[in-house]
Amino acid sequence: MSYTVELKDITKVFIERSWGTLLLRRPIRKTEALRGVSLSVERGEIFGLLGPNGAGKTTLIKILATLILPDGGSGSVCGYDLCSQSSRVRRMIGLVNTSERSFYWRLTGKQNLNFFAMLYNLSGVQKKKRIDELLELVGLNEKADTLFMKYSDGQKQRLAIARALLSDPEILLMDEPTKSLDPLAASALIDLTVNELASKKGKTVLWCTHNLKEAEKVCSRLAIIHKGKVIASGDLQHMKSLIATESFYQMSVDNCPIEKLQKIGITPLRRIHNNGHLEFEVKAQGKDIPLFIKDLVGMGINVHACKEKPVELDEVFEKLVSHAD
Amino acid sequence: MQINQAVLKPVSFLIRDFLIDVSYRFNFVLQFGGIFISTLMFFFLSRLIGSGVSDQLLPYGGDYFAFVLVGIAFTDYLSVSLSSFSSQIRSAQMMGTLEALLVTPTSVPAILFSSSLYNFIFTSLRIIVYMVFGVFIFGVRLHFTSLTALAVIIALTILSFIGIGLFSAAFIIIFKQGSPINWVISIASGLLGGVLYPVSVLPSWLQPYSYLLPITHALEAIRQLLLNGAPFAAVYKQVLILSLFAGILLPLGLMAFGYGLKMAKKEGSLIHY
Repeated sequence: MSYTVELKDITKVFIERSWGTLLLRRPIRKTEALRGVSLSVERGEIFGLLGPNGAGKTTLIKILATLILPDGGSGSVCGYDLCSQSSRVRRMIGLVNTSERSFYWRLTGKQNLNFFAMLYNLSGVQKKKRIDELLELVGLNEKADTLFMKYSDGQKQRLAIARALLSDPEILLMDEPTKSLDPLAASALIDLTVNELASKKGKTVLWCTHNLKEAEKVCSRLAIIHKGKVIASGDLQHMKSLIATESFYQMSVDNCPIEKLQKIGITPLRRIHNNGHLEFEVKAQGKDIPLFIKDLVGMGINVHACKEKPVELDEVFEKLVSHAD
Repeated sequence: MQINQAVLKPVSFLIRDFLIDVSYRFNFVLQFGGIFISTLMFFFLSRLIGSGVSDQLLPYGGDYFAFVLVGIAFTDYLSVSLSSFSSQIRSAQMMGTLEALLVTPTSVPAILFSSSLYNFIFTSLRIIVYMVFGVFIFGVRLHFTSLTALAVIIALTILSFIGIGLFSAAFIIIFKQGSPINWVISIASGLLGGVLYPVSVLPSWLQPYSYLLPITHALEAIRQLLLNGAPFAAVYKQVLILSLFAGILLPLGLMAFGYGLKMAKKEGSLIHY
């Protein structure tokens, strides 16, 4: 298996330094941001880094972008060591962050790309060609000569992607890329990433988010980070299987008193009354369902629908995070 | 290819800064107006002092206006060298562009020096404007007999000042606040460096301290060249002293900056402000 990104036991502790700690020998405040993070990302996949705010996702992305040095562990990007070959690592990555302030607002989109292209060692015809291609790819060719300050949030984010792709990197590090976007713009960005960048261009993408629905839509594999630790990782199926012992069923029956349901062992959850029907969820094992239906019908309560509720990533996330706490 | 990039990268920084600077048109024009006004102020001040020239000004041709014009013009190099690196880092931290710059394959020293280039060129332009106003409007007599010596002195002066500026940049990177080094050097240079008055007017016990500052030697040499038309040989002592300053301060400044950068990367505070 060829891994584009490999991290092993990465640790990071942030130290808060001030004049007080230096001169008055006040105790140094320490924050443990990463605690032995290990993960591997395969070439060409979209790998999700999921976690609540402050989980350590951005720290991990910044370590991969060589902006922060890890305290312990080892890591490589395309075979290059994160610490000793940081310059080579930077040639392999493109960082898309949420900050719209990472551009020069008084320059046009194209002037911004021209400037950053030089820093990515592009020049002359090659630079012009690349910039034109990227503006076309992200759908900004008609806005190329507009000042960045006049771009919409979605356009700013697309320009950030164009900038990250200037050096044609192997890996795109996308740190909460849809954070400030409306649903339409977010959907367009996801479409661009999944269909163009990953499928057609074969880029490896690390998609960092706390939006679980989005991760489910975008990522083929993911890791859940909580309090600086990877608490689960794998593909979506694997993640769901981690809590598969507990199935939920969604049922719709004739309106009836709750006591009747409880009498036959059903504890209805999330009840709603809808068009003369009582809809609810019940936690059960598959073998119990035919018995429930039989008992309900026996009591003269018609069953209109009964289906297994698909496990959603939210549930996996909630379950794993609360278990880790 | 590498030489090509080494030239093109600083040029792209220059283009970036020029485009941003001229986008604030009023401010851009105002800067030159400010030079004229400050020159005018010193001209009137010199008319007040003019007739009673002190003995201390005689080694510099006796004209206070010419003396002070050279002083304030070339002190600009001190200001820009001290503040440029740290202010470029600070401004990129505040604007939010630092992360985007540092994630490129361009080295940090290259980014730092290229970012400051526009300031140095603009300062040189400002100094030329000072001189042009001085010569053509206020009738100052300047000698450009030894341009090579002038270029050498300016280069060594800038290199010495850059060394101190790099300390400040390291300070900003680690502590995210104004460097006391800048404050001390600026105050000491203004007070003891012979910017507005000759060092010889200082009390004798204070004079030795002024020779610990690179600006004292730089201004002495520049005034000898521009005001007295002295040859290269007349300023060789200052060339040696400034070489010594540059030889010590520049490597130390680079080391301090490298250390600051490593600390900030380790502490994860590189892009914080």
